[in-house]
Amino acid sequence: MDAEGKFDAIVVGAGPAGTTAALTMARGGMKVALLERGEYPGAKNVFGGVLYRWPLEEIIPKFWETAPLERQIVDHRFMVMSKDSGLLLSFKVDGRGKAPYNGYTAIRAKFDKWYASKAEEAGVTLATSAVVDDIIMKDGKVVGVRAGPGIENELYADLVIAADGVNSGLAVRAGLREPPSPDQVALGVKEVVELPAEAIEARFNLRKGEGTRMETMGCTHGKMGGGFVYTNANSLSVGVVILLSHLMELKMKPYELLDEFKAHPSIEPFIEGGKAKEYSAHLIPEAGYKGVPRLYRDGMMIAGDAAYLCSYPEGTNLAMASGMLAGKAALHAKKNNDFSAKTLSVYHEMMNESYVIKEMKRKDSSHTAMLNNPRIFGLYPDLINEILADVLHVNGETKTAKHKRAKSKFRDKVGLLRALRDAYSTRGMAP
Amino acid sequence: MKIEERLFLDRFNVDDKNHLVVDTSKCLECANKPCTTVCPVDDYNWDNGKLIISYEGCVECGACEVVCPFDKIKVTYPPAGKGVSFRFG
Ligand SMILES: Cc1cc2nc3c(=O)[nH]c(=O)nc-3n(C[C@H](O)[C@H](O)[C@H](O)COP(=O)(O)OP(=O)(O)OC[C@H]3O[C@@H](n4cnc5c(N)ncnc54)[C@H](O)[C@@H]3O)c2cc1C
Ligand code: SF4
Ligand code: SF4
Repeated sequence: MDAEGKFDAIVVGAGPAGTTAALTMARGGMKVALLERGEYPGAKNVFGGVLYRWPLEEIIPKFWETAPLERQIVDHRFMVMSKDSGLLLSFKVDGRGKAPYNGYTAIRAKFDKWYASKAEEAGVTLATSAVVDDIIMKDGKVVGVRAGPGIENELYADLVIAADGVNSGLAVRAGLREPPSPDQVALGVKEVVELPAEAIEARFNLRKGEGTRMETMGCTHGKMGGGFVYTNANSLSVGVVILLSHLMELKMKPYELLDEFKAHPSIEPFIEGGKAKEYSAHLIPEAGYKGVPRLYRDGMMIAGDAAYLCSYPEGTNLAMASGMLAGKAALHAKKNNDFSAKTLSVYHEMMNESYVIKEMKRKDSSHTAMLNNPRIFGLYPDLINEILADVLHVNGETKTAKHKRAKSKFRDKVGLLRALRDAYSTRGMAP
Repeated sequence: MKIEERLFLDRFNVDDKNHLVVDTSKCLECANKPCTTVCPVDDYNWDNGKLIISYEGCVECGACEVVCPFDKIKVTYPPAGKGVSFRFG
């Protein structure tokens, strides 16, 4: 803050993107205000979810020693489900003595609060219950934000970083982005189900403290989306994600999809006897690289979900990585005492070189293909399950006859060339 | 599980002002009324030719605003400290 009480930078949103940007700038000596509309950071936030070690480790070395984390992910599961059966693939690594791990499950209400406290330790001024309504413009330049009526609610700074998440009103008001359209976002609905740690470890075949992340497909009535189960210390995070435009077509309530998922014979035994603790919902950017807007203008940058930088289930890592680069660009601007679009364009340049944009481009290659391909989320999962059910069922009919039937089913319903084309066009979906 | 039971799990500090700003002038024309199906907490209900809007259970996801084909919904954020506060999230 200078003599007139002005901050160098205002960051809106204390999620992974905003907190990282604020922390980066404060460490570089800038005076930063971090404004969060929730009662505490995380109060409005929802994810699956898994936090990845990268890039958090670069920001807070050995974060796993102090951060509120749930379980270390050693088991990655993928399930292809039909209405009443499921094919499960588990990739399990030996986690013994291998800490630090690549990913940890987390509870956002705890993690985001802890992470923002690290920014405060670095000198960031955090204000919670601070709802930003608008940006303040002067001569075509963003000069501050408004958090309520009257000048007492105006706050000025050389720079505003909007890290206000997927619905980002601020990016829209700054003319950097349009409001989302229904095929640019997915809706996730989630329940936290409490279970004793021992039950979780027994059901998922885990050692103490180890965790599973499970992604499923085939539970969204052929629409683009899927389900998930993540193991926390004493609870499971269970949810369904579906592209919003597809949910509109389906005309089902999102919680009906979640209820179906929870009742599925391949899922129900995991959660049986558990106690529901919370129900939540949140949008997820699904726009791919095509949807990524211009990231800066005079006096302003955007990062994380606000800039649609999400490649589900990766999101918090991309948010942190973009927040870090926005912070670095801000320090560069501060050094030159110039916060014009021209100077801030280094953000764009650094982003283009980063994993974030490369991952968004990869995601893009498959998005359109999947949007318009009803086979991926319905026909294939059903067919795989149908064929397995037939082949694995022993009833006196020869295996040869069953294999033949499987082949002709596949040929009639899909065809080899089409299957190859689908496989190629959805390669961006691969983990 | 019923939606009422689900919402009972969540922590709300309900504001006395509705933060969902809806102009219902196009609802009769709106064929599928997507706000009534996508909302994860059933805050929109079509009843006797009228859109009935509640806001108490709103988890502030913003889906209703995105799906309204006539752009008639604006989800403003509840003021300081109000609305949902996730304990897990
Ligand atoms: C169901 C689901 C599952 C997911 N699973 C995973 C996963 O397993 N792993 C993963 O890495 N990612 C996952 N993601 C994605 C991840 O949650 C997001 O990509 C990530 O949270 C984006 O971070 P952010 O900081 O950009 O935005 P957010 O985390 O959304 O933070 C934005 C912040 O801004 C605040 N805010 C918004 N508007 C205002 C305003 N006007 N004034 C003040 N404050 C404001 C909000 O309260 C919030 O704290 C998942 C998302 C969902 C919905
Ligand atoms: S979607 Fe919009 S126009 Fe349609 S019923 Fe709902 S509010 Fe009315
Ligand atoms: S913001 Fe979400 S929860 Fe709230 S009314 Fe709209 S759709 Fe329903």
